[in-house]
Amino acid sequence: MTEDKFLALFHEHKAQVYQHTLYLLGNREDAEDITQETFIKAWEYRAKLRPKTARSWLLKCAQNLCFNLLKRQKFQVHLTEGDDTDPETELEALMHTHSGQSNPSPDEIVVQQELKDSVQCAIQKLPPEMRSVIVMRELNGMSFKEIAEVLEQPEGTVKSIAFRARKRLRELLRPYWRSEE
Amino acid sequence: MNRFPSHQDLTCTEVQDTLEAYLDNELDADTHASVASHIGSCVACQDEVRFAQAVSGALHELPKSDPPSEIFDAVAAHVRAHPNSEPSRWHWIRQRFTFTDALTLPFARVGALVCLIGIIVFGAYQYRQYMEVKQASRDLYYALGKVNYAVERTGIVVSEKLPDVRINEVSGRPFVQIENASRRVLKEKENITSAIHQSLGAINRVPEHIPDIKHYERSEYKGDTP
Repeated sequence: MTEDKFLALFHEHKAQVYQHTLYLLGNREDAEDITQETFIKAWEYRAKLRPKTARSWLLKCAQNLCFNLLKRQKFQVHLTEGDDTDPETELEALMHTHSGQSNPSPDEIVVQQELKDSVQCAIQKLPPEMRSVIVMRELNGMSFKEIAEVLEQPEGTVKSIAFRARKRLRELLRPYWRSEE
Repeated sequence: MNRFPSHQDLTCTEVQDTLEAYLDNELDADTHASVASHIGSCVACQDEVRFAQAVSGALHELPKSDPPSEIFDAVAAHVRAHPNSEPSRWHWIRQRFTFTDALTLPFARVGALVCLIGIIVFGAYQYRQYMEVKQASRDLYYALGKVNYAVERTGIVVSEKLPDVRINEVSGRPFVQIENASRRVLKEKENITSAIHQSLGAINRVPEHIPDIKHYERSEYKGDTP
């Protein structure tokens, strides 16, 4: 793979890799380091890299690096801490730059805004494997088959993890839900 | 926990446990219909569906952002610092055609099939040749055994053992090395050639590849020829 092709590949996949690492680690600085390391590794393994499978390879590599980092540092996200690298603060800052959906009722706007504000915290409370599946599925819009390739697990297992993750999110976000009953 | 016997005994807990699969249409048709039927008549589950949809909506609207440009600068610097080495002679082939890629091409498939059939046919031919030579060798042993028996009965010559039978590497046919075969001296001072000639009449079948008589005549017994 030539330098130009590789840099084009970088531009094509940088956002997905960065989002994946950011939501997995909950820390912007670590996410940037891991994203950079992922692409440097990709350049070292460029002989094996194919455009068709590049995304799976990059996400798999990024995920392994994230898991290694989490394991090495015994990384735990303390959502109640208020320092500069607090994942809640960083991710909420990102979230507030994003516009809401169209034509919701005033009550729905309030509820959904509360959910949006809380969903980041809830994601960080999920186990890393569930977090990874949720990010790939919901953020990157990947199919279960593509996620299964990245995780090297059967498609059925990935579906099961995704459904359990969303159910767990429901449980975590229940205090923010106002029933219409 | 509410129970709804009319909806195939599905409970609210069961319905809410499968809500994500239901919303993604990943349930089988019967279960999907049962869950839908339950939700249609259960206010609590309807609210739970709205909640699950709101969570899904919130997940879909998670903010997305590009990495800072410093990462590109760092990666690009690394790439330029470690450029591709001089490509090998066959680099372009390896880059374009991996083995699995090649098998997707129609002519490559046909070629691979032809090669496979060729290997099988050649192997079968070689095996048949080998079996023919082996059978010929067996026939020769059998014939020589008969000869020896006949020679012994005529009382002319007695061999301690059969001559060495080997396969000629060039012709692939068996031949006999009389010179190397140990044998007792002739009792009646008869030539081994004449002994074989006499014994050949005693056996019904003479194999085509019986040792050349001249071969015997060249042997150490040549001088004994009458």
